[in-house]
Amino acid sequence: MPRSMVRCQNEGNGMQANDAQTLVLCALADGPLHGYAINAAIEELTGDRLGPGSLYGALTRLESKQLIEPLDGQGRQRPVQLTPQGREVLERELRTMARVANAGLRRLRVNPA
Amino acid sequence: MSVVTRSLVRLYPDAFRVRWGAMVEDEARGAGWKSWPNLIVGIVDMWLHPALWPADAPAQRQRRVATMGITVALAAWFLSHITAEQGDPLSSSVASGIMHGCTTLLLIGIALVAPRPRPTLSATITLLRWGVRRLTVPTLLGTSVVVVVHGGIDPTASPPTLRAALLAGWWIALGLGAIQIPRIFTGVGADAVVPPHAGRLRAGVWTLAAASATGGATILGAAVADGGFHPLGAAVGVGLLLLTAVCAGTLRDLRELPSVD
Repeated sequence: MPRSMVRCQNEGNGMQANDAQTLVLCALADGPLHGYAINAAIEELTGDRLGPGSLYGALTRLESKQLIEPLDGQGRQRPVQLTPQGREVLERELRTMARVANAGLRRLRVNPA
Repeated sequence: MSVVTRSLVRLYPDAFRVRWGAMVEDEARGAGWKSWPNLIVGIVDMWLHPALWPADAPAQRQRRVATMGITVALAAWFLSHITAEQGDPLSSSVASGIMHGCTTLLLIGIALVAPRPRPTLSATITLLRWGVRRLTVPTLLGTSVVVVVHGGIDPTASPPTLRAALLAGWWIALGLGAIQIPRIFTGVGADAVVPPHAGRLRAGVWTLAAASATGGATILGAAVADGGFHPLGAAVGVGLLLLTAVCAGTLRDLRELPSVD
């Protein structure tokens, strides 16, 4: 594999398209969800579920950065929702990703979907 | 299978388990044994990042980082002490001079990260009570070893089992002390101690990172240089470098968390 292609793949990872925290923020964009529903939304989005360690690790990190906040729970499940700051960060991240994706598709001479 | 899952979830830090434990368990049980490696990675990840654990207030996170700083400092001191006692890889005066510098840095780091006792009588009493509770066993064990050794026993004439027992007792006392001191700070709680402010905490963790990195590189270098290989020195050097990585992760967490200053 040419070295330039490897570099492109690494840069793709740097965009954090598969970053668990970004996926959780995306899943919460529609409104509050509990852990199981967040993972179902991520599965719908990417075709894969996050492992429990990754999912709840991401939720812990997002809560510590005050990007999400827990709501009162029902039974064993405790829903979480985006904070205004979380919404802002998600929008900024998605705009950056969209800009990079559009530029890449233009260079490939592929029409953005 | 659910017994294994429940046991794994119990390995998470308390604060994490209280917030997410039931949901992690449900998710892991649904995913089956295939989720166990991911769960184990998640558990290790959480223990290495105490600043991120769910907290009622930012000061609680700072207290956890302070406790982690003390734990790292004591672990680094313990590892350095093992090498110093063995002597071999650090026989050169340059290496031992660097290690003295590292010990000084560790002491400065502890002074910076250590939570301050509240200036009240009840806080002092609480702290003393927890100190006695946690340190009685290692102090008694260490003192017993010192008393036996200085009590006229001839090490060359004594049976090998007694010498081995004294050596084991000494190292167990030191190790137990290093484990119990951070537990004093987790036990006393916010009523008795105040964590250092964010700037001081960062400076302390930076100092500890510098101490463990310098010490680790020195010991590792000495262990593999000069034509010989010292497995213990190499292991201790790698251990100290891993402690540096823990400090680096904590510094990143502190940078990403909302400031409370």
